[in-house]
Amino acid sequence: MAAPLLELRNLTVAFDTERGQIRPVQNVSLSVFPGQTMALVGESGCGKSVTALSILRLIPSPPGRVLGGQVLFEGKDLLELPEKQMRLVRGKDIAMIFQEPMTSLNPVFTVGEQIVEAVQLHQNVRTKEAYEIAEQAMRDVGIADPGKRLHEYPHRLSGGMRQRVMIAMALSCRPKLLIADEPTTALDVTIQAQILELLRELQEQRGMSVMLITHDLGVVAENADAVAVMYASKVVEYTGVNDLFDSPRHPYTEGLFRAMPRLGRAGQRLEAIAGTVPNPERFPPGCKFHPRCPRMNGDAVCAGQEPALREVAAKHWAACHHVENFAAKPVTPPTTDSRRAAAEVPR
Amino acid sequence: MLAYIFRKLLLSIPILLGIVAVTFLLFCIVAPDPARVYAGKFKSEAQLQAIRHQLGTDVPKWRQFTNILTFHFANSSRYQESVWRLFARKAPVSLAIQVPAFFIELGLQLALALLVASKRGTILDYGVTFLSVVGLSVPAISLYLTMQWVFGGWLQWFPVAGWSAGFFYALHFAALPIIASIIAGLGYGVRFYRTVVLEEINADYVRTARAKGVGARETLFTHVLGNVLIPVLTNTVATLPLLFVGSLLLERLFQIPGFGNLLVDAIHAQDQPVVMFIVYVTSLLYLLMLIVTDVLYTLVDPRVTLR
Amino acid sequence: MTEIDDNSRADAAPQSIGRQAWSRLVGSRLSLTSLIVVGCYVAVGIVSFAPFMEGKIEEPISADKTFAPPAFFQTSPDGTRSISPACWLGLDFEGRSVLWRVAYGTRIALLIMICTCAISISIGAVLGLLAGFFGGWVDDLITWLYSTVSSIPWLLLVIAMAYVIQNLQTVNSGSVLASVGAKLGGLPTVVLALGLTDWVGLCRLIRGEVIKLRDQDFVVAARALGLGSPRILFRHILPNTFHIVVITFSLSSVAYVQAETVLAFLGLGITTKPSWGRMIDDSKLELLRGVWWEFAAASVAILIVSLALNTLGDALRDALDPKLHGVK
Repeated sequence: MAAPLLELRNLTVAFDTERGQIRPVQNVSLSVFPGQTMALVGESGCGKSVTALSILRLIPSPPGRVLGGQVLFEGKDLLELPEKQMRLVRGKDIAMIFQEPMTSLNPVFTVGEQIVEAVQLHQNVRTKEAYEIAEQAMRDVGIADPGKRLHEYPHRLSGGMRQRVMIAMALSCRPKLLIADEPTTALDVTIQAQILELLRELQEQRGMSVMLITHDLGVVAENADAVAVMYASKVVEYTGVNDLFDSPRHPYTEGLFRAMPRLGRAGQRLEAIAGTVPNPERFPPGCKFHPRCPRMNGDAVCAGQEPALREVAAKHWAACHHVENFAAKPVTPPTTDSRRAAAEVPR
Repeated sequence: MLAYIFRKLLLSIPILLGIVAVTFLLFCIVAPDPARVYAGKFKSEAQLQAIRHQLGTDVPKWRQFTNILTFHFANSSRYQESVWRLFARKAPVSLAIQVPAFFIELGLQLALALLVASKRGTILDYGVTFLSVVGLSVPAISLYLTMQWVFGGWLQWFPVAGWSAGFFYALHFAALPIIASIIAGLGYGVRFYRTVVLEEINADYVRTARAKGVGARETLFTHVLGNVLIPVLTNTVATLPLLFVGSLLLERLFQIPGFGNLLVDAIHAQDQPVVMFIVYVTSLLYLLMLIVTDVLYTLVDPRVTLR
Repeated sequence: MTEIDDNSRADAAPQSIGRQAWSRLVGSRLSLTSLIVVGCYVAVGIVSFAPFMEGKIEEPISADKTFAPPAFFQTSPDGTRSISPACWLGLDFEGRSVLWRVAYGTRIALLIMICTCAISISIGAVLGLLAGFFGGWVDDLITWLYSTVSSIPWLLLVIAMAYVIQNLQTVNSGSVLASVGAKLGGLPTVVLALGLTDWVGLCRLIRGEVIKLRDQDFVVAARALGLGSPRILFRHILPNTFHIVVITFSLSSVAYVQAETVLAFLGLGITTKPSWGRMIDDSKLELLRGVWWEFAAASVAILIVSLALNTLGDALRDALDPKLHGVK
């Protein structure tokens, strides 16, 4: 197995609020390999966006800060880099696209100006050439008549178009890793499919890695190679996509699968996971999922001790005391180079 | 574009008429006979009638209304001169103080606002914000008098008051009023623009720019500033008409023969034509500036179209 | 199945908006301080209504009826020293106590604030409610009205109004206005000039709020129950605009006190009694002679109350409008 492109080791992020310190990300470890699509899944508020922003060190610095851990990109710890060098990484080695295409583009500059800005930051080209690169980038993402579109303002474009522009902007400098934070959540379903397919194509063409953040298991099934499931600031399960869907080990993941409505299955109510996501200001002690967990039968260990992410099966990590023989499993760094099978993922 | 401007002018007509109506109401209906006010109690009816003729109040009321509408103002009773001439003579003096003050003040306000917003939560932020609130709580007259006393009377860096026609001498006299004017207005602006900048700094497009690799300071001066211009426009263009009037207090205290000083004179001397003229013309200028602002919006904010 | 632990923050009995706002207000040290400061001013103002004050502000302290710098003690002719509060802020050009006069100024300032707010808030609120609620030609008319009034720079309009009102009093010296004016030392001039001109801001805000409210479900429900317009307007919509009124009250008061200084400077303000503006105006020329205490006392009095009211207004805005909790 080659070395991972990006490796998070025990990343912990804190926010100092007027009501005390909250930690939306705690001891998060995962890896992304070259050419791999890793999906980071979880409900709203579980810390996935904060994790992504911390990779690029874009957490607003009062009130937030990284408390500990490492972000290793091609072996270098990004957290140790001086800001000047970090800026060279952003947009060039690692690019990021965001959820709300409506507001993620500056309304007073044309789309072309914004892409050119990215280009000129990282490539030493004259303006005219930069515009040509921008035009090509827009063509690559499937925008028709890119020459004309370059000079349009964002408010004149549809949501799907804007997201394509964001992707064009992000990819204009050929990054090795693209972090996509819920890129399709704000879009119509049909556009969603188009954008995801576009990302897949571009990824194959360029051998780029993608960290795909989403709360939609369907998207995961169709696009991911490896999956990390997050709950309440922690990674609770991490493995290849086939493994995850075949045999989920963590009760939260199981709950997510059970909650998905399925065609052709008779039933009356959707099965929801009982309870609600905990407020980061008041995380429960021990395992953060234990108040809602069907496996917990009054076990003291669940409320008392937070389970670490252990390799409970080959290349399959989970954090739950109730996995068979959990305490004996090794605590190894979660890295898996798995790829999805060419065939359809079984459910 | 011309059609747009024309349409805006057309839409302003009701308000224009409203302004004429308010001016008329205030000075021709509610106000007591200006002749009587001006002349005091002990004049004969014939003398009063002569004064009324001079002031243009011997015509029927509806005529007075149309006079305002057609810019027919009586001559100043104090100066015995056409109000327009007075305006032409005095307005440039006011502008000489207000225009530099306006631009320097705006620049400082924006610079401070950007600085402070980017360092939010630090001591610098708290300090500047506190000073701003103090600045806008100080009564202007106290500020001006204090500055006169400190810089004019005590340190003697500048003349306490006065004016001169020659350019370089005028600079000498203008310096302190300009500085005082800037300090008086700084607090309000810094606070207002700070809020505006803070809103923009937390916008999504700033996050996108940072993710592309744009530096913190650069995002401030290109991305944020570009969006901040819109509220700046709203806030400042409408205050432009006041540049003509100058600051009444400032001009009086520093003895600058500007338009504002003229108003004070007019009030003391019961010179109603001048008071009426100033109120009316300033309001019209304000209305004009609103239209100018609308047009400028279309240039500054690409989301606004010429509709 | 295990007991579901509800991790949401435990709430006590649900609090009314007023209660919540109050607790937020007193929670912050800054706003609490401003509240206390304003309270002190109000206390001083109320005390100044006592009859003994009338004498205190006119009575010359020192024998020679002239200036004296601030002093802790006062030496009487026979050489004995006594602590004399009247001298703490010095004596003005007629030997009168600056301390008592500044205190009296508080009463005037309070009167101005309250009376002016009464007028401007009444006009602004009523017009805003009507415009927002009825829409149509009523709205058009009121919008035209406030657009017109707001086209005239406020200070200019205030001055013009004060000018006219004062003239009305001098010319028609027998009228009601003149006699009330004479008795109250020019107060009606100031209050009317400020109150009749400053309603536009409030009108706009309330109109905007009412427009938002009138389409909400509770209004539709009230109509469905058969409630008539006036009742809906006053019992249901008006209370939802109180927060705007309260904030405006606090912030506008500052403007009124400051505007009074301008009016005093122009000779259009309070005439017989010592208002802060008048004290500053009186003390202009003294400054060049090195007499700073009257000027300083009045200026600082205005500065502190303006500071407190501004801070309070901001705090009220934060406390009463939860949507603004993102940006400070």
